[in-house]
Amino acid sequence: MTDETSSYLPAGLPAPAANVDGLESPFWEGTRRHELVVQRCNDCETYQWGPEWICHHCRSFDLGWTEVPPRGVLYSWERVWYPVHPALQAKLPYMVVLVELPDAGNIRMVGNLVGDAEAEVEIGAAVEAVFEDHEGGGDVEPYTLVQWRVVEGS
Amino acid sequence: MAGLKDQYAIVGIGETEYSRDSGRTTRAMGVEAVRSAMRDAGLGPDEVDGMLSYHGNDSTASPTIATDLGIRLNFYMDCSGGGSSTEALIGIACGVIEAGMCKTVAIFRSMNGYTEARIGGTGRQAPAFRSGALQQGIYGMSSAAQSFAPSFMRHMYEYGTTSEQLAHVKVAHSKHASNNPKAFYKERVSVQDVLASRWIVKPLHLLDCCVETDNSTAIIVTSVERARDMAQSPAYIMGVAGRTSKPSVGYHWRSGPISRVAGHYARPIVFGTAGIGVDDIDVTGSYDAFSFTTMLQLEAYGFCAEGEGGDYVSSGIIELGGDRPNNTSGGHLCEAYTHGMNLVIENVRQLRGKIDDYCPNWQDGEHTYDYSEGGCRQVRDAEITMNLGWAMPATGSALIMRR
Repeated sequence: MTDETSSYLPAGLPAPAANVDGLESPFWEGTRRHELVVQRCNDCETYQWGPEWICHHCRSFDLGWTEVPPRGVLYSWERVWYPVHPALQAKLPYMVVLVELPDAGNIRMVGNLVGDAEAEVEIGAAVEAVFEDHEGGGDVEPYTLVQWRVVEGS
Repeated sequence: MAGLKDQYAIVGIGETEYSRDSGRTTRAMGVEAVRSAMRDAGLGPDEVDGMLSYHGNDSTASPTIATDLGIRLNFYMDCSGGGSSTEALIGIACGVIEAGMCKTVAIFRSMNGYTEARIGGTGRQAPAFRSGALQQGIYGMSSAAQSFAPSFMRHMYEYGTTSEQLAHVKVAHSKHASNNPKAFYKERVSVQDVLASRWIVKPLHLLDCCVETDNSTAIIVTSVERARDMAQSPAYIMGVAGRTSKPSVGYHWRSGPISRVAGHYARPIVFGTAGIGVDDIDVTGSYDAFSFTTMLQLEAYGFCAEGEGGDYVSSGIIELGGDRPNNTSGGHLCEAYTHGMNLVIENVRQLRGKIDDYCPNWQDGEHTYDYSEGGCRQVRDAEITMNLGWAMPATGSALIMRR
Protein backbone atom coordinates (compact mmCIF):
# COMPACT_ATOMS: atom_id res chain seq x y z
CA MET A 1 0.00 0.00 0.00
CA THR A 2 1.30 3.42 -0.92
CA ASP A 3 0.10 6.90 -0.08
CA GLU A 4 -0.09 9.31 -2.97
CA THR A 5 -0.60 13.04 -2.86
CA SER A 6 -0.56 13.99 -6.54
CA SER A 7 -3.37 12.71 -8.73
CA TYR A 8 -2.95 10.42 -11.74
CA LEU A 9 -5.52 12.23 -13.88
CA PRO A 10 -5.42 16.03 -14.26
CA ALA A 11 -7.44 18.41 -12.11
CA GLY A 12 -10.79 19.44 -13.54
CA LEU A 13 -12.55 16.07 -13.64
CA PRO A 14 -15.75 15.79 -11.58
CA ALA A 15 -15.59 14.36 -8.07
CA PRO A 16 -17.37 11.05 -7.34
CA ALA A 17 -21.10 11.42 -8.01
CA ALA A 18 -23.45 12.47 -5.26
CA ASN A 19 -24.20 9.53 -2.99
CA VAL A 20 -27.63 10.55 -1.70
CA ASP A 21 -28.82 7.00 -0.92
CA GLY A 22 -25.68 6.26 1.04
CA LEU A 23 -25.17 3.00 -0.84
CA GLU A 24 -21.48 3.66 -1.40
CA SER A 25 -20.71 5.59 1.79
CA PRO A 26 -18.74 2.89 3.65
CA PHE A 27 -16.43 2.58 0.65
CA TRP A 28 -15.72 6.30 0.43
CA GLU A 29 -15.35 6.60 4.20
CA GLY A 30 -12.87 3.72 4.07
CA THR A 31 -10.76 5.27 1.36
CA ARG A 32 -10.37 8.42 3.49
CA ARG A 33 -8.72 6.16 6.09
CA HIS A 34 -6.71 4.49 3.27
CA GLU A 35 -8.59 1.25 3.77
CA LEU A 36 -10.22 -0.82 1.04
CA VAL A 37 -13.76 -1.58 2.24
CA VAL A 38 -16.17 -3.60 0.09
CA GLN A 39 -19.60 -5.18 0.37
CA ARG A 40 -20.01 -8.64 1.87
CA CYS A 41 -23.30 -10.43 2.40
CA ASN A 42 -24.16 -10.94 6.07
CA ASP A 43 -26.05 -14.13 5.23
CA CYS A 44 -23.87 -16.04 2.75
CA GLU A 45 -20.59 -14.13 3.24
CA THR A 46 -20.12 -13.58 -0.50
CA TYR A 47 -18.05 -10.54 -1.42
CA GLN A 48 -19.62 -8.13 -3.90
CA TRP A 49 -18.52 -5.14 -5.97
CA GLY A 50 -19.87 -2.62 -6.98
CA PRO A 51 -22.23 -1.92 -4.19
CA GLU A 52 -25.89 -2.83 -4.62
CA TRP A 53 -28.94 -3.35 -2.40
CA ILE A 54 -29.14 -7.08 -3.03
CA CYS A 55 -26.64 -9.92 -2.75
CA HIS A 56 -26.47 -11.39 -6.21
CA HIS A 57 -25.44 -14.75 -4.82
CA CYS A 58 -28.21 -15.52 -2.28
CA ARG A 59 -30.60 -12.59 -2.94
CA SER A 60 -30.40 -11.42 0.64
CA PHE A 61 -30.88 -7.72 1.32
CA ASP A 62 -28.73 -7.93 4.45
CA LEU A 63 -25.42 -6.67 3.14
CA GLY A 64 -22.49 -5.64 5.28
CA TRP A 65 -19.08 -4.14 4.65
CA THR A 66 -15.63 -5.44 5.38
CA GLU A 67 -12.05 -4.32 4.94
CA VAL A 68 -10.02 -6.40 2.48
CA PRO A 69 -6.30 -6.45 1.65
CA PRO A 70 -5.59 -3.65 -0.84
CA ARG A 71 -4.06 -5.89 -3.48
CA GLY A 72 -5.14 -7.80 -6.55
CA VAL A 73 -4.27 -8.94 -10.05
CA LEU A 74 -4.86 -7.21 -13.37
CA TYR A 75 -7.95 -8.73 -15.00
CA SER A 76 -8.10 -6.43 -18.02
CA TRP A 77 -7.02 -2.98 -19.16
CA GLU A 78 -7.30 -0.28 -21.80
CA ARG A 79 -5.05 2.58 -22.87
CA VAL A 80 -7.05 5.71 -23.65
CA TRP A 81 -5.77 8.01 -26.39
CA TYR A 82 -9.01 9.85 -27.15
CA PRO A 83 -10.62 11.45 -24.10
CA VAL A 84 -14.17 12.65 -23.54
CA HIS A 85 -13.67 15.18 -20.74
CA PRO A 86 -11.62 18.20 -21.92
CA ALA A 87 -9.43 18.09 -18.79
CA LEU A 88 -8.05 14.75 -19.92
CA GLN A 89 -6.39 16.33 -22.95
CA ALA A 90 -3.54 17.14 -20.57
CA LYS A 91 -2.88 13.45 -19.82
CA LEU A 92 -2.76 11.25 -22.89
CA PRO A 93 -2.56 8.39 -22.96
CA TYR A 94 -3.85 7.17 -19.64
CA MET A 95 -4.55 3.66 -18.36
CA VAL A 96 -7.84 2.27 -17.04
CA VAL A 97 -7.75 -1.17 -15.47
CA LEU A 98 -10.05 -3.84 -14.10
CA VAL A 99 -8.49 -5.40 -11.03
CA GLU A 100 -9.56 -8.73 -9.56
CA LEU A 101 -9.20 -9.25 -5.80
CA PRO A 102 -8.31 -12.90 -4.98
CA ASP A 103 -8.45 -12.09 -1.25
CA ALA A 104 -12.09 -11.05 -1.61
CA GLY A 105 -13.82 -13.67 -3.72
CA ASN A 106 -12.34 -12.34 -6.97
CA ILE A 107 -14.52 -9.25 -7.03
CA ARG A 108 -13.42 -6.71 -9.66
CA MET A 109 -12.83 -2.96 -9.41
CA VAL A 110 -12.25 -0.18 -11.96
CA GLY A 111 -9.37 2.22 -11.50
CA ASN A 112 -6.34 3.80 -13.13
CA LEU A 113 -2.94 2.16 -13.28
CA VAL A 114 -0.41 4.69 -12.00
CA GLY A 115 3.04 4.92 -13.53
CA ASP A 116 4.14 5.15 -17.14
CA ALA A 117 0.96 4.89 -19.21
CA GLU A 118 2.90 3.59 -22.21
CA ALA A 119 4.72 0.83 -20.32
CA GLU A 120 3.93 -2.78 -21.22
CA VAL A 121 1.23 -4.24 -19.03
CA GLU A 122 0.39 -7.88 -18.48
CA ILE A 123 -2.94 -9.33 -17.50
CA GLY A 124 -2.37 -11.37 -14.38
CA ALA A 125 0.24 -8.98 -12.97
CA ALA A 126 0.11 -8.38 -9.21
CA VAL A 127 -1.07 -4.88 -8.28
CA GLU A 128 -1.49 -2.94 -5.06
CA ALA A 129 -3.85 -0.12 -4.19
CA VAL A 130 -2.71 3.49 -4.18
CA PHE A 131 -4.92 5.81 -2.12
CA GLU A 132 -5.06 9.11 -3.96
CA ASP A 133 -6.25 11.98 -1.76
CA HIS A 134 -8.16 14.91 -3.25
CA GLU A 135 -8.68 18.09 -1.27
CA GLY A 136 -12.05 18.94 -2.77
CA GLY A 137 -13.09 22.56 -2.48
CA GLY A 138 -16.18 24.62 -3.03
CA ASP A 139 -19.14 22.26 -2.62
CA VAL A 140 -16.92 19.17 -2.91
CA GLU A 141 -15.86 17.41 0.27
CA PRO A 142 -12.37 15.92 0.36
CA TYR A 143 -12.35 12.43 -1.16
CA THR A 144 -9.87 9.64 -1.89
CA LEU A 145 -9.71 7.51 -5.03
CA VAL A 146 -8.39 3.96 -5.13
CA GLN A 147 -5.79 3.61 -7.89
CA TRP A 148 -3.51 0.69 -8.65
CA ARG A 149 0.20 0.12 -9.15
CA VAL A 150 2.05 -2.91 -10.48
CA VAL A 151 4.03 -4.64 -7.73
CA GLU A 152 7.62 -4.70 -8.94
CA GLY A 153 9.10 -8.14 -9.37
CA SER A 154 5.69 -9.76 -9.47
CA MET B 1 -44.56 -22.42 -28.76
CA ALA B 2 -44.40 -19.00 -27.16
CA GLY B 3 -44.20 -15.91 -29.30
CA LEU B 4 -45.93 -14.64 -32.40
CA LYS B 5 -44.05 -16.37 -35.19
CA ASP B 6 -45.05 -15.24 -38.69
CA GLN B 7 -48.01 -13.19 -37.42
CA TYR B 8 -46.42 -9.78 -38.04
CA ALA B 9 -44.25 -8.29 -40.74
CA ILE B 10 -42.17 -5.30 -41.71
CA VAL B 11 -43.91 -3.71 -44.69
CA GLY B 12 -42.20 -0.34 -45.05
CA ILE B 13 -38.69 1.06 -44.70
CA GLY B 14 -37.33 4.58 -45.11
CA GLU B 15 -34.31 6.68 -44.41
CA THR B 16 -32.87 10.12 -45.00
CA GLU B 17 -29.49 10.78 -46.50
CA TYR B 18 -26.61 9.60 -44.30
CA SER B 19 -24.44 12.66 -43.81
CA ARG B 20 -22.30 14.68 -41.43
CA ASP B 21 -23.99 17.95 -42.19
CA SER B 22 -27.75 17.46 -42.27
CA GLY B 23 -28.39 21.15 -41.61
CA ARG B 24 -31.85 20.08 -40.46
CA THR B 25 -33.70 19.34 -37.26
CA THR B 26 -34.42 15.83 -36.04
CA ARG B 27 -38.07 16.79 -36.61
CA ALA B 28 -37.60 17.45 -40.33
CA MET B 29 -35.52 14.30 -40.76
CA GLY B 30 -37.95 12.14 -38.77
CA VAL B 31 -40.85 13.30 -40.91
CA GLU B 32 -38.92 12.50 -44.07
CA ALA B 33 -37.93 9.01 -42.92
CA VAL B 34 -41.41 7.99 -41.74
CA ARG B 35 -43.00 9.50 -44.85
CA SER B 36 -40.55 7.56 -46.99
CA ALA B 37 -41.41 4.31 -45.16
CA MET B 38 -45.14 4.99 -45.58
CA ARG B 39 -44.67 5.61 -49.30
CA ASP B 40 -42.62 2.41 -49.54
CA ALA B 41 -45.49 0.44 -47.98
CA GLY B 42 -48.13 2.33 -49.92
CA LEU B 43 -49.77 3.67 -46.77
CA GLY B 44 -51.57 6.97 -46.28
CA PRO B 45 -51.85 8.89 -43.01
CA ASP B 46 -55.18 7.26 -42.12
CA GLU B 47 -53.59 3.81 -42.31
CA VAL B 48 -50.88 4.33 -39.67
CA ASP B 49 -52.17 4.67 -36.11
CA GLY B 50 -49.23 3.69 -33.92
CA MET B 51 -45.77 5.19 -33.44
CA LEU B 52 -42.67 4.19 -31.48
CA SER B 53 -39.36 5.96 -31.16
CA TYR B 54 -36.18 5.78 -29.11
CA HIS B 55 -33.79 8.54 -28.26
CA GLY B 56 -31.07 9.83 -25.98
CA ASN B 57 -32.64 13.23 -25.34
CA ASP B 58 -31.48 14.09 -28.85
CA SER B 59 -34.61 13.65 -30.96
CA THR B 60 -38.17 14.77 -31.68
CA ALA B 61 -41.04 12.85 -30.12
CA SER B 62 -43.71 10.78 -31.88
CA PRO B 63 -46.69 13.13 -31.35
CA THR B 64 -44.89 15.89 -33.24
CA ILE B 65 -43.80 13.64 -36.10
CA ALA B 66 -47.28 12.12 -36.37
CA THR B 67 -48.96 15.53 -36.39
CA ASP B 68 -46.58 16.73 -39.11
CA LEU B 69 -47.66 13.73 -41.21
CA GLY B 70 -51.39 14.11 -40.60
CA ILE B 71 -51.51 10.92 -38.54
CA ARG B 72 -53.92 10.62 -35.59
CA LEU B 73 -52.41 8.14 -33.16
CA ASN B 74 -54.15 5.38 -31.23
CA PHE B 75 -50.86 4.43 -29.57
CA TYR B 76 -47.43 5.96 -29.18
CA MET B 77 -44.39 5.59 -26.95
CA ASP B 78 -41.06 7.38 -26.94
CA CYS B 79 -38.46 5.62 -24.86
CA SER B 80 -34.90 6.30 -23.94
CA GLY B 81 -32.46 3.97 -25.60
CA GLY B 82 -29.70 3.39 -28.06
CA GLY B 83 -28.43 0.36 -29.88
CA SER B 84 -30.59 -2.76 -29.68
CA SER B 85 -33.76 -0.63 -29.40
CA THR B 86 -34.82 -1.33 -32.99
CA GLU B 87 -35.40 -5.04 -32.48
CA ALA B 88 -36.99 -4.46 -29.07
CA LEU B 89 -39.42 -1.89 -30.45
CA ILE B 90 -40.35 -4.17 -33.34
CA GLY B 91 -41.34 -6.73 -30.70
CA ILE B 92 -43.32 -4.08 -28.82
CA ALA B 93 -45.08 -3.10 -32.04
CA CYS B 94 -46.21 -6.71 -32.56
CA GLY B 95 -47.42 -6.78 -28.96
CA VAL B 96 -49.51 -3.62 -29.03
CA ILE B 97 -51.14 -4.62 -32.32
CA GLU B 98 -51.85 -8.07 -30.87
CA ALA B 99 -53.38 -6.37 -27.84
CA GLY B 100 -55.77 -4.51 -30.10
CA MET B 101 -54.39 -1.09 -29.22
CA CYS B 102 -53.66 -0.10 -32.83
CA LYS B 103 -53.27 -1.63 -36.26
CA THR B 104 -50.07 -0.40 -37.90
CA VAL B 105 -46.99 1.02 -36.17
CA ALA B 106 -44.26 3.29 -37.55
CA ILE B 107 -40.95 3.06 -35.65
CA PHE B 108 -38.34 5.76 -36.13
CA ARG B 109 -35.01 7.03 -34.86
CA SER B 110 -33.88 10.56 -35.71
CA MET B 111 -30.48 11.88 -34.65
CA ASN B 112 -27.90 14.45 -35.62
CA GLY B 113 -25.28 12.06 -34.36
CA TYR B 114 -22.40 14.04 -35.78
CA THR B 115 -23.34 17.71 -35.74
CA GLU B 116 -25.21 17.75 -32.41
CA ALA B 117 -25.03 14.98 -29.80
CA ARG B 118 -22.18 12.60 -30.60
CA ILE B 119 -22.48 9.17 -29.07
CA GLY B 120 -18.94 9.39 -27.73
CA GLY B 121 -20.11 12.10 -25.34
CA THR B 122 -18.73 15.10 -27.20
CA GLY B 123 -20.26 17.47 -29.77
CA ARG B 124 -22.42 20.55 -29.77
CA GLN B 125 -25.18 19.06 -27.61
CA ALA B 126 -22.94 16.90 -25.46
CA PRO B 127 -24.57 15.91 -22.19
CA ALA B 128 -22.86 17.05 -19.00
CA PHE B 129 -19.99 14.73 -18.09
CA ARG B 130 -21.25 12.40 -15.42
CA SER B 131 -19.26 10.09 -13.24
CA GLY B 132 -22.21 7.71 -13.29
CA ALA B 133 -23.38 4.88 -11.12
CA LEU B 134 -20.27 2.88 -11.84
CA GLN B 135 -18.08 5.75 -10.74
CA GLN B 136 -16.21 5.04 -13.95
CA GLY B 137 -16.08 8.64 -15.13
CA ILE B 138 -13.76 9.67 -12.32
CA TYR B 139 -11.22 7.30 -13.85
CA GLY B 140 -11.70 8.75 -17.34
CA MET B 141 -13.87 5.81 -18.46
CA SER B 142 -17.06 7.18 -19.93
CA SER B 143 -17.54 6.73 -23.68
CA ALA B 144 -18.86 3.52 -25.20
CA ALA B 145 -15.39 2.65 -26.46
CA GLN B 146 -13.87 3.22 -23.03
CA SER B 147 -16.60 1.25 -21.25
CA PHE B 148 -16.41 -1.78 -23.56
CA ALA B 149 -12.66 -1.98 -24.24
CA PRO B 150 -11.70 -4.11 -21.21
CA SER B 151 -14.13 -6.80 -22.41
CA PHE B 152 -12.42 -6.78 -25.81
CA MET B 153 -8.94 -6.87 -24.27
CA ARG B 154 -9.84 -9.79 -22.06
CA HIS B 155 -11.13 -11.75 -25.07
CA MET B 156 -7.75 -11.25 -26.75
CA TYR B 157 -5.99 -12.48 -23.62
CA GLU B 158 -8.16 -15.53 -23.02
CA TYR B 159 -8.49 -16.74 -26.60
CA GLY B 160 -5.51 -15.31 -28.44
CA THR B 161 -7.75 -13.11 -30.58
CA THR B 162 -5.73 -10.61 -32.62
CA SER B 163 -6.16 -7.11 -33.99
CA GLU B 164 -5.57 -8.56 -37.46
CA GLN B 165 -8.55 -10.88 -37.08
CA LEU B 166 -10.81 -8.06 -35.95
CA ALA B 167 -9.65 -5.83 -38.79
CA HIS B 168 -11.40 -8.25 -41.15
CA VAL B 169 -14.75 -6.99 -39.84
CA LYS B 170 -13.98 -3.50 -41.12
CA VAL B 171 -12.51 -4.92 -44.32
CA ALA B 172 -15.69 -6.92 -45.00
CA HIS B 173 -18.05 -4.07 -44.18
CA SER B 174 -16.07 -1.62 -46.31
CA LYS B 175 -16.28 -4.08 -49.19
CA HIS B 176 -20.06 -4.13 -48.78
CA ALA B 177 -20.25 -0.33 -48.50
CA SER B 178 -18.37 0.06 -51.77
CA ASN B 179 -21.50 -1.38 -53.42
CA ASN B 180 -23.87 0.87 -51.51
CA PRO B 181 -24.57 4.32 -53.03
CA LYS B 182 -25.97 5.50 -49.67
CA ALA B 183 -22.89 4.62 -47.62
CA PHE B 184 -21.01 7.46 -45.94
CA TYR B 185 -17.66 5.66 -46.34
CA LYS B 186 -17.56 3.82 -49.66
CA GLU B 187 -13.82 3.25 -49.88
CA ARG B 188 -12.54 -0.29 -49.42
CA VAL B 189 -9.87 -0.65 -46.74
CA SER B 190 -7.27 -3.33 -46.01
CA VAL B 191 -6.27 -5.07 -42.79
CA GLN B 192 -3.13 -2.94 -42.85
CA ASP B 193 -5.22 0.25 -43.10
CA VAL B 194 -7.04 -0.72 -39.92
CA LEU B 195 -3.88 -1.61 -38.02
CA ALA B 196 -2.15 1.58 -39.13
CA SER B 197 -5.01 3.82 -38.00
CA ARG B 198 -4.46 5.64 -34.73
CA TRP B 199 -5.46 4.27 -31.35
CA ILE B 200 -8.70 5.53 -29.85
CA VAL B 201 -8.68 3.22 -26.84
CA LYS B 202 -6.37 0.28 -27.12
CA PRO B 203 -7.37 -2.36 -28.33
CA LEU B 204 -9.58 -0.18 -30.58
CA HIS B 205 -8.01 1.55 -33.56
CA LEU B 206 -9.88 4.40 -35.23
CA LEU B 207 -11.06 2.04 -37.98
CA ASP B 208 -12.36 -0.45 -35.41
CA CYS B 209 -14.88 2.25 -34.43
CA CYS B 210 -18.07 3.15 -36.26
CA VAL B 211 -18.73 6.33 -38.18
CA GLU B 212 -20.89 9.06 -36.56
CA THR B 213 -23.56 10.56 -38.83
CA ASP B 214 -26.75 12.66 -39.02
CA ASN B 215 -29.81 10.74 -40.15
CA SER B 216 -33.28 9.39 -39.53
CA THR B 217 -34.51 5.87 -40.25
CA ALA B 218 -37.98 4.30 -40.10
CA ILE B 219 -39.70 0.91 -40.21
CA ILE B 220 -43.41 0.03 -40.42
CA VAL B 221 -44.82 -3.06 -38.70
CA THR B 222 -48.29 -4.51 -39.21
CA SER B 223 -50.17 -7.82 -39.06
CA VAL B 224 -49.78 -10.38 -41.84
CA GLU B 225 -53.44 -9.91 -42.80
CA ARG B 226 -52.83 -6.24 -43.58
CA ALA B 227 -49.37 -6.89 -44.97
CA ARG B 228 -50.77 -8.86 -47.88
CA ASP B 229 -52.42 -5.76 -49.33
CA MET B 230 -49.36 -3.56 -49.27
CA ALA B 231 -46.93 -2.42 -51.93
CA GLN B 232 -43.94 -4.57 -50.96
CA SER B 233 -43.55 -8.23 -50.18
CA PRO B 234 -43.54 -8.53 -46.39
CA ALA B 235 -40.53 -9.43 -44.28
CA TYR B 236 -42.14 -11.87 -41.82
CA ILE B 237 -41.07 -11.67 -38.19
CA MET B 238 -40.17 -15.17 -37.02
CA GLY B 239 -38.75 -14.33 -33.62
CA VAL B 240 -37.65 -11.38 -31.54
CA ALA B 241 -35.83 -10.81 -28.25
CA GLY B 242 -35.61 -7.37 -26.72
CA ARG B 243 -33.18 -5.71 -24.35
CA THR B 244 -32.22 -9.05 -22.88
CA SER B 245 -29.65 -8.44 -20.18
CA LYS B 246 -26.86 -9.97 -18.18
CA PRO B 247 -27.26 -9.94 -14.41
CA SER B 248 -26.37 -6.59 -12.85
CA VAL B 249 -26.40 -4.47 -15.99
CA GLY B 250 -24.33 -1.58 -14.65
CA TYR B 251 -21.53 -3.82 -13.40
CA HIS B 252 -21.41 -6.04 -16.47
CA TRP B 253 -17.76 -6.79 -15.72
CA ARG B 254 -18.62 -8.19 -12.29
CA SER B 255 -18.60 -11.90 -13.02
CA GLY B 256 -17.81 -14.63 -15.48
CA PRO B 257 -15.87 -14.16 -18.67
CA ILE B 258 -16.63 -10.47 -19.31
CA SER B 259 -16.56 -11.05 -23.06
CA ARG B 260 -19.72 -13.20 -22.76
CA VAL B 261 -22.34 -10.65 -23.80
CA ALA B 262 -26.12 -10.38 -23.43
CA GLY B 263 -26.79 -12.31 -26.63
CA HIS B 264 -25.92 -15.40 -24.60
CA TYR B 265 -29.28 -14.92 -22.89
CA ALA B 266 -31.26 -13.63 -25.89
CA ARG B 267 -30.26 -16.61 -28.04
CA PRO B 268 -32.71 -19.23 -26.67
CA ILE B 269 -35.56 -16.71 -26.74
CA VAL B 270 -35.22 -15.63 -30.35
CA PHE B 271 -34.33 -19.02 -31.79
CA GLY B 272 -36.98 -20.65 -29.60
CA THR B 273 -39.76 -18.54 -31.05
CA ALA B 274 -38.46 -18.81 -34.61
CA GLY B 275 -38.09 -22.59 -34.29
CA ILE B 276 -34.88 -22.61 -36.32
CA GLY B 277 -31.14 -22.67 -35.66
CA VAL B 278 -28.02 -20.79 -36.70
CA ASP B 279 -27.54 -22.99 -39.77
CA ASP B 280 -30.81 -21.67 -41.21
CA ILE B 281 -29.61 -18.04 -41.18
CA ASP B 282 -28.44 -16.71 -44.58
CA VAL B 283 -27.45 -13.17 -43.60
CA THR B 284 -26.55 -11.64 -40.24
CA GLY B 285 -26.70 -8.04 -39.09
CA SER B 286 -24.43 -8.09 -36.05
CA TYR B 287 -24.24 -4.58 -34.62
CA ASP B 288 -20.91 -3.01 -35.41
CA ALA B 289 -20.47 -0.09 -33.07
CA PHE B 290 -16.98 -1.58 -33.00
CA SER B 291 -15.40 -4.47 -34.88
CA PHE B 292 -15.42 -6.35 -31.58
CA THR B 293 -19.17 -6.01 -30.96
CA THR B 294 -19.85 -7.81 -34.23
CA MET B 295 -17.55 -10.65 -33.21
CA LEU B 296 -18.71 -11.03 -29.60
CA GLN B 297 -22.34 -11.25 -30.66
CA LEU B 298 -21.71 -13.80 -33.41
CA GLU B 299 -20.16 -15.92 -30.66
CA ALA B 300 -22.95 -15.28 -28.20
CA TYR B 301 -25.65 -16.40 -30.63
CA GLY B 302 -23.76 -19.54 -31.53
CA PHE B 303 -22.53 -18.80 -35.06
CA CYS B 304 -19.20 -19.97 -33.70
CA ALA B 305 -18.03 -21.25 -30.34
CA GLU B 306 -17.06 -18.90 -27.52
CA GLY B 307 -13.48 -17.84 -28.17
CA GLU B 308 -13.55 -18.67 -31.87
CA GLY B 309 -14.94 -15.34 -33.04
CA GLY B 310 -11.56 -14.17 -34.30
CA ASP B 311 -11.33 -17.13 -36.65
CA TYR B 312 -14.96 -16.72 -37.72
CA VAL B 313 -14.77 -13.04 -38.69
CA SER B 314 -11.45 -13.46 -40.51
CA SER B 315 -12.46 -16.58 -42.46
CA GLY B 316 -14.35 -14.86 -45.27
CA ILE B 317 -17.72 -16.15 -44.03
CA ILE B 318 -18.95 -12.65 -43.18
CA GLU B 319 -18.12 -11.14 -46.59
CA LEU B 320 -20.42 -10.93 -49.59
CA GLY B 321 -19.74 -14.14 -51.48
CA GLY B 322 -19.09 -15.93 -48.17
CA ASP B 323 -21.46 -18.38 -46.53
CA ARG B 324 -23.16 -15.88 -44.23
CA PRO B 325 -22.44 -12.23 -44.97
CA ASN B 326 -22.75 -9.71 -42.14
CA ASN B 327 -24.01 -6.13 -42.47
CA THR B 328 -24.17 -6.09 -46.25
CA SER B 329 -24.87 -2.33 -46.28
CA GLY B 330 -21.51 -1.62 -44.71
CA GLY B 331 -23.19 -1.26 -41.33
CA HIS B 332 -22.28 1.22 -38.66
CA LEU B 333 -18.60 1.00 -39.55
CA CYS B 334 -19.17 2.33 -43.07
CA GLU B 335 -22.76 3.08 -44.11
CA ALA B 336 -23.97 5.21 -41.19
CA TYR B 337 -24.57 5.18 -37.46
CA THR B 338 -28.29 4.98 -36.78
CA HIS B 339 -28.39 3.07 -33.50
CA GLY B 340 -29.18 -0.15 -35.30
CA MET B 341 -32.11 0.60 -37.56
CA ASN B 342 -30.20 0.69 -40.85
CA LEU B 343 -29.00 -2.84 -40.11
CA VAL B 344 -32.61 -4.08 -39.96
CA ILE B 345 -33.59 -2.03 -43.03
CA GLU B 346 -30.77 -3.68 -44.99
CA ASN B 347 -31.99 -7.15 -44.10
CA VAL B 348 -35.55 -6.27 -45.15
CA ARG B 349 -34.13 -5.25 -48.53
CA GLN B 350 -32.17 -8.52 -48.74
CA LEU B 351 -35.36 -10.51 -48.16
CA ARG B 352 -37.21 -8.52 -50.82
CA GLY B 353 -34.40 -9.27 -53.26
CA LYS B 354 -34.27 -5.56 -53.97
CA ILE B 355 -30.98 -4.36 -52.51
CA ASP B 356 -30.31 -0.81 -53.74
CA ASP B 357 -26.83 -1.43 -55.14
CA TYR B 358 -25.22 -0.40 -58.44
CA CYS B 359 -27.06 -3.02 -60.53
CA PRO B 360 -29.03 -1.02 -63.12
CA ASN B 361 -32.34 -2.82 -62.54
CA TRP B 362 -32.14 -3.49 -58.81
CA GLN B 363 -35.63 -2.03 -58.38
CA ASP B 364 -36.97 -4.96 -60.40
CA GLY B 365 -34.93 -7.42 -58.36
CA GLU B 366 -32.37 -7.94 -61.12
CA HIS B 367 -28.88 -8.48 -59.74
CA THR B 368 -25.53 -9.51 -61.17
CA TYR B 369 -24.17 -11.11 -57.96
CA ASP B 370 -20.83 -9.65 -58.99
CA TYR B 371 -19.48 -8.29 -55.72
CA SER B 372 -16.62 -6.31 -57.25
CA GLU B 373 -16.29 -2.70 -56.19
CA GLY B 374 -19.16 -0.59 -57.48
CA GLY B 375 -21.25 -3.68 -58.19
CA CYS B 376 -23.84 -5.86 -56.52
CA ARG B 377 -24.55 -6.53 -52.85
CA GLN B 378 -27.64 -8.71 -53.07
CA VAL B 379 -27.21 -12.11 -51.42
CA ARG B 380 -28.51 -14.80 -53.75
CA ASP B 381 -31.72 -16.42 -52.49
CA ALA B 382 -31.63 -14.76 -49.08
CA GLU B 383 -34.50 -16.42 -47.23
CA ILE B 384 -33.81 -15.87 -43.54
CA THR B 385 -31.92 -13.01 -41.89
CA MET B 386 -30.98 -12.30 -38.31
CA ASN B 387 -30.20 -9.02 -36.56
CA LEU B 388 -28.04 -9.03 -33.44
CA GLY B 389 -28.59 -5.70 -31.72
CA TRP B 390 -26.09 -4.36 -29.21
CA ALA B 391 -26.64 -1.68 -26.58
CA MET B 392 -23.72 -2.57 -24.35
CA PRO B 393 -22.06 -5.77 -23.17
CA ALA B 394 -24.92 -6.41 -20.75
CA THR B 395 -27.90 -5.58 -23.00
CA GLY B 396 -28.84 -6.79 -26.46
CA SER B 397 -31.78 -7.59 -28.74
CA ALA B 398 -32.31 -9.90 -31.68
CA LEU B 399 -34.67 -10.34 -34.61
CA ILE B 400 -35.15 -13.17 -37.10
CA MET B 401 -37.05 -12.44 -40.33
CA ARG B 402 -37.92 -14.49 -43.40
CA ARG B 403 -39.17 -13.61 -46.84
